[in-house]
Amino acid sequence: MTIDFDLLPEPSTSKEPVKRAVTTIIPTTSDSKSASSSKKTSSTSTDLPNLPSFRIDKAHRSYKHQYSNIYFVRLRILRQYVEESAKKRWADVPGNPLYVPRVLEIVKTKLCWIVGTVYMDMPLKPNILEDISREHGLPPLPPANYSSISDKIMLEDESGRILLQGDLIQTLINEDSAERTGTNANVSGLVTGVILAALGKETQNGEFEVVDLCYGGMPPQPSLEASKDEDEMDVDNQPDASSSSEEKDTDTWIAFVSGLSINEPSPADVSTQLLIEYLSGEAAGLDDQVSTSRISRLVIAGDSLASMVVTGKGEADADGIKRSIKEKKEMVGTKIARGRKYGYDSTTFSPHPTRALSAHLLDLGRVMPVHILPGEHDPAGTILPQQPFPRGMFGDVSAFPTFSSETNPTWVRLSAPSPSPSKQDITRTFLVHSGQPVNDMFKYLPSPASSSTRVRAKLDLAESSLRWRHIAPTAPDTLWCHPYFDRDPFILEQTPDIYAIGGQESFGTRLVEEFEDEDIKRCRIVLLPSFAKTGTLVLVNMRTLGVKTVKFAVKGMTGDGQDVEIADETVKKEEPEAEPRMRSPDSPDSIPDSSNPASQMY
Amino acid sequence: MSNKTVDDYLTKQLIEGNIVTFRSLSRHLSLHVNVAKNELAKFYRKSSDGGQSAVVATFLLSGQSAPRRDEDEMEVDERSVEDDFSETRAPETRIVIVGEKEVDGARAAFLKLNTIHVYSLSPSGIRDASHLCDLTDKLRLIDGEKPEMAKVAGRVVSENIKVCGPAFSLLRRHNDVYTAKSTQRWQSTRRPTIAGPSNAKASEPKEQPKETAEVKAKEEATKAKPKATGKLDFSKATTKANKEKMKEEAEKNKKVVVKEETPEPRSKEKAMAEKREELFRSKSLKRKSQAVMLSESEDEKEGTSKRASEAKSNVRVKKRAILSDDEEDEAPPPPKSRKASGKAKAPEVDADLQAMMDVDDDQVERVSEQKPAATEQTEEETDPVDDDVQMDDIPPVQKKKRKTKKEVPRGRNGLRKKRVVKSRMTTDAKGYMVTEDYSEYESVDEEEPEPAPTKGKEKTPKEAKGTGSASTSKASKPKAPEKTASKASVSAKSKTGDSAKGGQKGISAFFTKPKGK
Repeated sequence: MTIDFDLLPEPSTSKEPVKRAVTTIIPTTSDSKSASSSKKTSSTSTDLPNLPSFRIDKAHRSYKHQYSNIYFVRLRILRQYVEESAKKRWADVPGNPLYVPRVLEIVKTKLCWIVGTVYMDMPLKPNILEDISREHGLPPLPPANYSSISDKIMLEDESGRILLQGDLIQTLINEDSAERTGTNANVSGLVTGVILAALGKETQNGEFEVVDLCYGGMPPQPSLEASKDEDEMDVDNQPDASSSSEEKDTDTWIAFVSGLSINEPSPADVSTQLLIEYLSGEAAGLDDQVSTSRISRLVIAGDSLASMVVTGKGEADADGIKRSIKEKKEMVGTKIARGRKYGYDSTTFSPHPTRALSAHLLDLGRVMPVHILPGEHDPAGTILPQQPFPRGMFGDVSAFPTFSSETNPTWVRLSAPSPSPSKQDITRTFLVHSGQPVNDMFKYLPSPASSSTRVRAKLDLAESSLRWRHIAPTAPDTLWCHPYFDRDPFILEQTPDIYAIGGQESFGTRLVEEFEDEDIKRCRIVLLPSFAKTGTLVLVNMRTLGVKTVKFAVKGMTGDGQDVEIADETVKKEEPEAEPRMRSPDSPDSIPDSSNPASQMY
Repeated sequence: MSNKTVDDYLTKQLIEGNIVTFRSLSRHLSLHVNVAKNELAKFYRKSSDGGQSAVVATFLLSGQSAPRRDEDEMEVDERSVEDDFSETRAPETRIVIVGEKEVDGARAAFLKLNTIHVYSLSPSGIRDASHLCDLTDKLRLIDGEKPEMAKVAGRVVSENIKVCGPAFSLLRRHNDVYTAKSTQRWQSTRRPTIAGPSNAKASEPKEQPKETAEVKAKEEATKAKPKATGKLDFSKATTKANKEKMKEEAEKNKKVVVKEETPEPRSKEKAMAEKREELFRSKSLKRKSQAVMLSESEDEKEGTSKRASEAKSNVRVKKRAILSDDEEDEAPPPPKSRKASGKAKAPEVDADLQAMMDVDDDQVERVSEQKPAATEQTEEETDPVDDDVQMDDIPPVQKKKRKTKKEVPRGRNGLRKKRVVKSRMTTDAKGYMVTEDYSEYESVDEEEPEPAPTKGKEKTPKEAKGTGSASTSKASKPKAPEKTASKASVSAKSKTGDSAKGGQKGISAFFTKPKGK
């Protein structure tokens, strides 16, 4: 059997070797002295405002504060923006609505608008008060989805709470007869912690009948002016950045990957190796190699290591001997049994995943700058913002100054030389996180049936969070976060150019635009699917904000190839069972959720 | 690369049952990856034309994947029928590895095929794709050892990346290890340091042989081990240091030697036989370093050292007893070495070199002090000397042996930590509370007297305190206080009183145990 294929063009020695595109990091905080040095490199970057840092320094590494401070600060800061945009939006509303600064001071039956924090009262949502009042035992794992028929949406401020009602807020959906009951749909996709303005009037029952909602709107985009010229051209010609027609060979790309899930004891994943070979420009033909060389850096958005599975089976006793369950029963009460080390089994513990990961990182770090974020399943703290991995744990690659260990939500500002020398450098601001905020918000919504609608729902959420000016409103309610005292770092003070979200089940992207006066704020939202499941690498064009994907797979072989194929199958499988009925606990969203407490135990 | 070598290599690997990927071929034969891919293809064609079924290939296909709605997650859902694929799909490049039998099927999945090339050759079909990863570790090593390979193989390396990164980190690690050890132990450190620098820097090894030769010629009987370490240090010093420095050092050494004669006698008296070896090593090391530095000084030193040795045949015994003292003496160098290691971490090799050089200089001085004693000892002791000589022939082995010996960690201030007995309560496996005593090293304040009690003979903490740098002074007490004027005076005192464990100047002496222990 012969297979016809052409030989690759041999590299000619005279020709200059392919050069990788280079981007430089522009410091995002003022405290770094390099701000002045960056002036020289790009004149546009200096006037860019600082970005919040998610690093928790020693002085603030205290857990003694109450979480209420976060809500307080959030409302105080965001209220002004919401008021501003609400005034603009409702200026011409007939009836001249009145702004009531305190929720409880509403005048009945008079049209008015109020500003406050959304609180979702959901019976299925874990409730800290219930946990505390529970005397015995651990609470059951929270369900994969909190939405239920008896959800209530309220708006609260310093003074009190008021129940929101109206078609805009929720609709009673009577689904097919197959459904048990209707569902209170959260029409506007609200989640706890969002600051918004609601226009309406109080009913006789003391509820607030909502006519319209207003958010703060997308924050300013400072890099706008910097890249205005280019943007205008590009936007005009190419409103849909996903079409590749406009992309040029000289464009600089940034690669994003999430969920490598380096997993012990299975051997090194071929897809991962292919990924590395692709990124280093070794795999595939000359064309691919040239296009790879335009990828200037790689961002790994969380879940680099597979979550550790804790089983009671392999538990070793105090004497280090594994026994069967039967034997253990017989030994109950003995000293050996009492000294049992739960959750840790020295016979099955292996440092292999970390080592494998650092080996891969070393391969990658040798060819391009790498940013790595901790994620939900990584061996890092579970509360947001997750602090950077200690560099030392990655061995040799930590010697590279170009290897950056980042916090979980992280801001990165990059500048790439413009293709045409006459223009200024392209500066883009990236906001990257490993997906927890979006995944958590997703639990507040009635679960969409199909994967494509799920993707869209998550894109909606991501887009909303830009308009809410807050990337993680559900913290600290259902998303664990650090008890900040005097600030809320998740407030968006500016719109990123690229908002990349890791830890997603499938790929999705959307270009969000908001017109304000003559400016267009544009943000490219990218959902990064798990690499282990989908083998997908996402590339984002620095200039056009266009998106490409590269998919790695193995066919016709078992072993690691299985990972990919099995993943595809599971995706297919879950569709039928995800028909519009109440979410079953084994639906895909339950996976991160249920593993959360487990990882938390470490 | 000629076809012949490639063919030979491939044939050999396949006969041995190995998988050859384009990467492993390119790394082993220094080929560009694309050339390697073509070589694999040629070989594959040749063998399949020849009707041999011995070679099975896997292929890598890359191209634009055809939009497969049905096959994809995109399910048949009324809501998803919206032509909103822009949000869930993007132009996708697909890169697939397939066995040779699946190639045609895989091709169909591509809208446009950019490339197809041989990914690997293997003697039989690969069932488990993870076998393709087996070679990765080796390749990673090769890439790490030969950064230049990136260019040869055609990896596209970002300009941001400093190629020295990985290789340097490895190198640095070695250095760190060595320096750390050196700080802990003179003896152990000397050998390792030698090995480390020699590996790292070509200049050092060259210098060593010369030096060693000289030393050997002059003092054949002396031990080889110490020399090696001394040489290393010295070599560094020479490379770095200006000639002036060297001259100064030489002068110092001479002076030191003269002074040393006096201190040695008392040390002899005090010293016990137990720890002679250690002393020897340290002293011999010092001597060696001197030799390296100045051949002229060596001659003089030898003369002085000979005198000293003549004066006291017992030196070794005494020194052993003093061992603890010796260790203290050694203490000063460790801090320096630490500095060196700290500097070594700095990314630039030059900085490391300089740091190391600095350290060496310091060490050299000390060495000079100790040297005379060592020489004396060596000459006097016939048997041990012989052993040492043999060791010289095979220095590395000896070093290893000694390393295993006890190590006294040093505190930040460079002083040896003292052992303190503490007790702790623990719950044992059976649930009982157990109180156990354990000893632990504790760092010592620079101002505090060193823990004399353990051996307590000659250390005479007072002297040590008197001098500015406690560590050096302590070291000097037993052996060679000469360096600083104050030290010299101290040494003189100690000499006078030394017959009965030195004339104790303080009450503390009464609380120390007699040597006999």
